[in-house]
Amino acid sequence: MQLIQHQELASAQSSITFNSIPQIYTDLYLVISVRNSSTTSAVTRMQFNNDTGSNYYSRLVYGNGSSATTYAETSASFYLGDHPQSTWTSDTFGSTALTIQSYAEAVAKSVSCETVAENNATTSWQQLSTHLWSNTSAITTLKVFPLGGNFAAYSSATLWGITKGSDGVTTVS
Amino acid sequence: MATPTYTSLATITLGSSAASVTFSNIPTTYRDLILITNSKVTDSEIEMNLIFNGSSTNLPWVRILGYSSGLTTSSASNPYPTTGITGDGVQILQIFDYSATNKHKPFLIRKSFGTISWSDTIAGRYPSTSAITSITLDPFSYNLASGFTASLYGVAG
Repeated sequence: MQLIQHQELASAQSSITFNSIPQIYTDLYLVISVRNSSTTSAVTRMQFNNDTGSNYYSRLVYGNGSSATTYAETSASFYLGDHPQSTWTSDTFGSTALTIQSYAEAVAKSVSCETVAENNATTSWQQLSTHLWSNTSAITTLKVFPLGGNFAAYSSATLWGITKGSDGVTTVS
Repeated sequence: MATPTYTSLATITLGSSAASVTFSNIPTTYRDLILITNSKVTDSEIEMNLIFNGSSTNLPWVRILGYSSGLTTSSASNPYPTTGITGDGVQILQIFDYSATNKHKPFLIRKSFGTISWSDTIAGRYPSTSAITSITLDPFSYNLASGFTASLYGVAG
C-alpha cells in the first residue's frame, strides 16, 4: 500500500478533494477523520470525477447501541455515513475507512466502507455500508463533503493505492 | 517512496471460467492476510466454499446482513461464509494471525454487493492451530466466471 496524498484542513472547508489520482494501482484505500460544522446535519457524502448524476447507490447497516437498521438510496453522491456535527461532543471527530476496488478499470466501481460517529452522548453510530458507482470511467477525482456546513479545521483525509502482484513464492491456480 | 504496508503475494484474473482458485505456498512471514476479490461466478448469488489448507472444515461464523427486506443476523458452522455473485461487488477477507501456531484464526469478511443491494459482514474463526498456507475459493457445483479477480496481500506485524 502506497501513500498517495494526505490532506489536513487548517481551517473550515466545504470539501476535501483528491485530483489527478494516479492510474497505476489496483485498488484505492481512503481513511477520513472529520467533524461537521453544521448544527443540523452530520451526513458525509462522496463523489467521483465530479459526476453529479444519479449514478451512486448506497446501502447502510447501522446501529446506535439501542437499535439497528438498514437504509438504501440511489443519489447524486454516496452516503458514507454520519460524522460528529458541531452540537456533538467537542473536539470529537468521526472516522471512515473504505476500499474502492479496481478504480482504474472500465467497470462499475464497488466500494466497501465502515464509519464510526463517536459522541459522548446517547447519539453515536457505527455504520457499515456498501456502494456502487455505475459509471465505468476510471476514477481520477475523489471528493468527500458534508451535506451541510463545512468540515471543521483539523479534519483530514488520507488516500493510499494498493497494487496487486506477486512475491515470487505464493502461487495461485 | 513510502514503505508499503500491504505486500502483494499473488493475484489472478480468470480469462475463462474455472471450478475454483487456490492460493498456495503462502509464506508464514506476515501477521495477517487480506484477500480482495470481485467474487464473480457464473450463476446466481450463491454460497461459496472457503477452504484453508486444502481441507474443507466447518467454520463457525456470525453474520449481520442488510438488504431490501431489512436487517438480519444469523450464525452457522459450515465451510461457506463467502459468497459468489454475478453482478458488481467487492468481497474483502481479512485473516488475523494466520501464521500463528498457538491459536485459532479469526477472520472478518466484508461483502459489498451493490448490484443486489447487500451490505453483509461476517466474523468467523478457522478452528485450527496450523498456520494457513493455502486458501481456496470454490463455488460448489457452479464456476468462477471469466473476469473473476482475486488478490492476496500480506500485512507485516
